[in-house]
Amino acid sequence: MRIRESLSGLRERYRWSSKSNLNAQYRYGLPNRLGDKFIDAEIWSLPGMVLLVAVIGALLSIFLISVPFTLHEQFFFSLVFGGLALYIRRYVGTLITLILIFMSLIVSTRYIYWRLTETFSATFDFDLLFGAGLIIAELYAWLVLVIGFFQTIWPLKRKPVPLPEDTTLWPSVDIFIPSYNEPLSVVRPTVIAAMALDWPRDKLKVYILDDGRRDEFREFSESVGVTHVVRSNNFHAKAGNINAALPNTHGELIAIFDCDHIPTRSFLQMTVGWFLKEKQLAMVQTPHHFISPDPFERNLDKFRMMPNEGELFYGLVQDGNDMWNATFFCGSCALIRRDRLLEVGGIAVETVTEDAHTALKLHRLGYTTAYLGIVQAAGLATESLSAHVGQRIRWARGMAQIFRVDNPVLGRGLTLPQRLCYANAMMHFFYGIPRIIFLTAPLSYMFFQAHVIQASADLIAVYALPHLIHANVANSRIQGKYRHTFWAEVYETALAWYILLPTTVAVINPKLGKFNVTAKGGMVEREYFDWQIAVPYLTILGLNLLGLGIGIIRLFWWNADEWGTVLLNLLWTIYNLMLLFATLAVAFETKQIRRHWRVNMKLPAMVRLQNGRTMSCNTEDFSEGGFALRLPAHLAVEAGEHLHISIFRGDREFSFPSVVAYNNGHVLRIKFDDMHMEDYQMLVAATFSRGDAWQEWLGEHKTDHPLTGLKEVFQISITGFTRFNSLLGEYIKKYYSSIKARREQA
Amino acid sequence: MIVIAVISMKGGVGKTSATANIAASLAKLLGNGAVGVIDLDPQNSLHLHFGQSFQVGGGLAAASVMDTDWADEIYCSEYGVDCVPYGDVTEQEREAFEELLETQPEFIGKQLYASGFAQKRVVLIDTPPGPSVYLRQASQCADVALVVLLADGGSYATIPAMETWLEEMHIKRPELKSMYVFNQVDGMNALGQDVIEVVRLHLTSRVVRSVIHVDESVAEALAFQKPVAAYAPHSQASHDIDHVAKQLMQYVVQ
Repeated sequence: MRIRESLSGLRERYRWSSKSNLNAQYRYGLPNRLGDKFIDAEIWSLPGMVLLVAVIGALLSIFLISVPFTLHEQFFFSLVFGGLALYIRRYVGTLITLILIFMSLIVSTRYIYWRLTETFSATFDFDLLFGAGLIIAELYAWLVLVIGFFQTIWPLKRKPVPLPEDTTLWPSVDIFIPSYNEPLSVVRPTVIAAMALDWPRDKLKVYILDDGRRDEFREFSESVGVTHVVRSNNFHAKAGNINAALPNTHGELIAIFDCDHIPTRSFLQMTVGWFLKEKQLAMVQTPHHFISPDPFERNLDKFRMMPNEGELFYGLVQDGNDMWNATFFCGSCALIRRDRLLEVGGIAVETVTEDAHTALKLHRLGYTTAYLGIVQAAGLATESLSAHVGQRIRWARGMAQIFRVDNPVLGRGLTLPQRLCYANAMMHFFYGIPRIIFLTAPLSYMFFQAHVIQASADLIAVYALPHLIHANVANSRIQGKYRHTFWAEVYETALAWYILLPTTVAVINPKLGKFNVTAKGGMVEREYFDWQIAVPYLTILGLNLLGLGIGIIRLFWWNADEWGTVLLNLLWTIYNLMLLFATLAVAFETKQIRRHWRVNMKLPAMVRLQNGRTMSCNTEDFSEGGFALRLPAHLAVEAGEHLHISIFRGDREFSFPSVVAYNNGHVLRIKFDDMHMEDYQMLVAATFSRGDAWQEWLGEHKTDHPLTGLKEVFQISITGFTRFNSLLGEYIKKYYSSIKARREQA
Repeated sequence: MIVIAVISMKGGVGKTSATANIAASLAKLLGNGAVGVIDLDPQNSLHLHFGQSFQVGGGLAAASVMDTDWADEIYCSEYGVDCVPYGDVTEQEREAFEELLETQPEFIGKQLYASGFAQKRVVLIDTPPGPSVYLRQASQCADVALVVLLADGGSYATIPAMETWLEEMHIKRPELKSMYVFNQVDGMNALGQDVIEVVRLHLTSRVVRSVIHVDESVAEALAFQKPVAAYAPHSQASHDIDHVAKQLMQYVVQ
């Protein structure tokens, strides 16, 4: 595609699909009109014009990145560039997004160039030692920024392909549901929903791959009519489990669902079409969607109020990868072609992230993968911070292993964009060391007076601040709907320490370390502070507090000759403290008392009382235990009374005998009477497996403003600060009272 | 004017209540006075749904025998539906009326236009169950035959007879459309759900998508002489009837 076509394609696409809350003036304002003129200009049709402009642009960029400026020149340059970015960022359009990205690239690269060429200690000393660490961290951050821009520059936003009318052309499908130690109550709805998938009966087979070899599972499988598959060993965990089932099954396509990911009935209808259209296609991935809050959302009380940690990946990154034919396999909620999978020797077993590695092998053979950003399954999030950390450690270790044993940047068979996408996915998990460096860098000056950046404070300010501002403005533009600004820092800070060691070990020796299964469906029975998780952060926090104290002293009383540098480092320390307190807030585990998660979903419903009267209403939420119904008028029923609840799905009605748990006149909460398997199947069909169940998920949040993101993080950090203070207070109290008690005994 | 004849092969399917309630719902949809109902059932109970316990005129049977205009027999109810009751008649009067209908096959149709009902958007005619002179009259002037069914074996068994009858009618009057609606449906009844599914499979788009659920409020509403929408607006039956009325209008307009 020629650049002009592609740009006007981008423009149109963005203009019509944008649901941004911006006003019309930002749609058709001066920058929009100028942009349109630029794209539609006649000169683009002249031969060689595109090349000429590209060359001039590249030369200009090199000039802007490398030209040395004095303090005042750099200040003026930043002011103009920054002002322009802040002015155009309000306007809609992909062209403007591209300009913002381009400006961020220039300014950020200019900063890095300046750091590398002008701010190094000439002699080998203390300063260089600390400075080298910082520059490595900064180079890492810059590289992730640049490749990240590339990765997400044009999300593909693929749509489903309709299936042919003739169902004999539809391929046969095996559903694999691997399980190891999860309770049957977690696995059951998934199996029931898998059986209810909209697909010809004779072309659909459901298999429970039970690595726990449990009788309970065998009996359940027999009772509902699915196949219970076991093997004699547990080699290679989930990957081995799936591979062991391959020889004895025969479906042309294999759908894999983690045992707690409940598919909607439309899953196959949505995904299979692409396999018929694209012969080289090996795998289609759909998003992972969670009905329960992850530890961040739960402990910070932010469930559904802002994009969660996974939303960036499934909302933006995968769609961006899809553009470059680099969609990753994520282990669940995906459909794979059996023959292609067998060609790469089944699911990869060399690393602990078997999913990403399998996709890499498929890509190496020239096969394509696709991402369909429509939620077609829902599951439970990890229930505690330590479990969440454990899962991320596994991902990080696995990615580091792939980096070592099957390096995507160097190995054969990949296109350059694919290499970049894989490289970014891998590099992303190496943020452990850089993040710790950023959290401690200002301390080296506070404590040891090391000048990690060999430049005056005002020079650092006019170089570094524009870099930070441009990067955040551009990222907020691209990612705003899927991740609010500064939240990445909170997520990374919380996990940095834990993934630091596993990634390092895996890079040194990929064979070390073992696979840990992510525990789900459990409870956090009481509130507690996860000391084990928090200890490294408490240490860093203590050091930063000390640094803050020294900084304040140095500002006014002692050694106060470099007040500019002190001030800069103080600000940096304060920012770090904000992140650290926010991390502490996450470590306060709040209660998770319910065994069944309540899912908010508005469904048409009916209450039928024992006297034969009815009321038409809507559900507010549901769980496996019952429903909450919003009543349009008063209903005279009391707790303990028996009644019937009907839920409607199109023409179909699903009716459940129930008991009233609670009625306040507006909300009626009911519990199911003893449920039989048939009732249970109906419940799953009426709720989890509805085709429209999770329709409104992706991108449901408002596009953020960078400063709002900062405010959110600040508030969270205040919460962490107060919670931790009161916790300390309690400990001190306990300590004194125990001393007192001992004295009295004596 | 769209004329809907409400019919069934079998008694006790709640046809009269369905007629009254659908009419009341249509009146909400189309505006006060836009909907009329004609009671062609000698049981003479349709008007009871609209708060008319007392007798004002003699009803359409007596008026027709005496060759007077129906205009005096129309009751304008407070629910936006204008109703012409069958009337409380003696055995001789009924026989005379039925003989009149026998000899003049298009009598009701003509009366409709003469009575001023021609200005109505929709007129529903309630008929007694099974083949009768009333059914013949209604089907002569109707645009749509709305068949009321229960979701049970008994109603299911009457479908072939109903379809044969409709086919015969169709030869005479190709413009006559027909629709089926399920009344008094119980979601807990597995057989009922199966019957609905099978009938939908065979008759496809001729079955109104929404069903009317069994609901004590419908019987209670009659006791209070109100349409169910006025008596229990939040009841499921009331919601169902609104849906049925809407879908009926969509079908008729097509």
